[in-house]
Amino acid sequence: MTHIDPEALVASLRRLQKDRAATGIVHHLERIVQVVDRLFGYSGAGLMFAEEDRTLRYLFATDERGRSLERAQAVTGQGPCVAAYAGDTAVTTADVRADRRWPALRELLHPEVRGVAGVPIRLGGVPVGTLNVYQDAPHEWQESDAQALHAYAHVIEQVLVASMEADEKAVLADQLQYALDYRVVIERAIGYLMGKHDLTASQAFTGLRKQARDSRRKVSELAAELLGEQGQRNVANPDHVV
Amino acid sequence: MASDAPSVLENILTGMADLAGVDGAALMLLDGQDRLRAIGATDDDGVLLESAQESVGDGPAIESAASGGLVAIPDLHAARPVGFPNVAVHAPPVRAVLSVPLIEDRELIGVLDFYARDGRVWDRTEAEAGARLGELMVIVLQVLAEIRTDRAPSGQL
Repeated sequence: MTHIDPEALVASLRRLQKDRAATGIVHHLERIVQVVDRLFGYSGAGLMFAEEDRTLRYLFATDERGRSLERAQAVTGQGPCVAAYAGDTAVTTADVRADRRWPALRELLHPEVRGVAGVPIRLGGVPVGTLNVYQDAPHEWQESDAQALHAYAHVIEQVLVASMEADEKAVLADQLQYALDYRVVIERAIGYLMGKHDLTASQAFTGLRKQARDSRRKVSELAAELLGEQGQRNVANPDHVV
Repeated sequence: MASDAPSVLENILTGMADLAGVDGAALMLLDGQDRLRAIGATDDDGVLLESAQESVGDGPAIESAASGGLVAIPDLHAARPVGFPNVAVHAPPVRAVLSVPLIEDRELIGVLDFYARDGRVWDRTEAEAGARLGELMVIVLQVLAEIRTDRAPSGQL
């Protein structure tokens, strides 16, 4: 039996629905991941989700270093988060750059990605993705770290469950797939900004995200417009992104 | 797999209590008349705590809502101004309470309470963790509010 008053909950949620456009599950997941590194004091965090063929693809990372971690694993098909997903268990490494289990990662990783931990995100008891965190220096993970990450992943799972309520499953799947697909567009937009303004990938990524946040728009939408793939609406001057 | 909003919320409150390292977590939200209402908790003690604050109109959550800041109470049973004996009498097992205001777009929407059955002094780290978990709860509530209105398959990043 639940300890929640459903009538009071519905009344309060109705109040929250006023005057606010729905922003979608992926946007919420991004914000949830942004909280995790500040909660635990990690250097960064990210989310990866599996496609139908069980291949992990990265959905979101809090910074450029985290992006390199998720991108490297997506490219090589190996790494702590891939192992966490495949084994449905927490996987940690004190220094991923020196870890012999995943030798192919080193060349692709940002040099400040060192200690890494990944835990599975499950739906209906089945892993569907991973929550990943990293430290910018070698880090000896404790059992309490894994427990805390499992607890946080559990919160994410519940958010996904909530989003699947009332026939939302298809919508959720569409949104996640859309987000995964748009990773490519974002990567290309970052490359464009790097070349145009002589920026590092980190500077380009940070500038893109800041501009999207400041204008209350999606990173993917802004990236597409930069590349001229969705027309030029709402982009007064794309070079002002950074 | 529980998928109704009350079950989801209770599971999330349980997860947050685990993350905060406390015995339980409880939630009060503003209703349509801007009244702080008890929504629920991880266990019966939390329900007592929230119901008491709603009926008495006093307590750490009420104070947190009024001030918009964190309220850390080492022992609810202590005499005023340290504790809230008028609330504690209705929720005797609860001792320490950390009340976190829930802010959405600079507006208060509710208060998240963390509680322990033993007295404790909340340190800065615990207070900061409570604040971060409050941010997380706001996102969760936005998700729960949206799932009844968001039907368009538009991807978001």
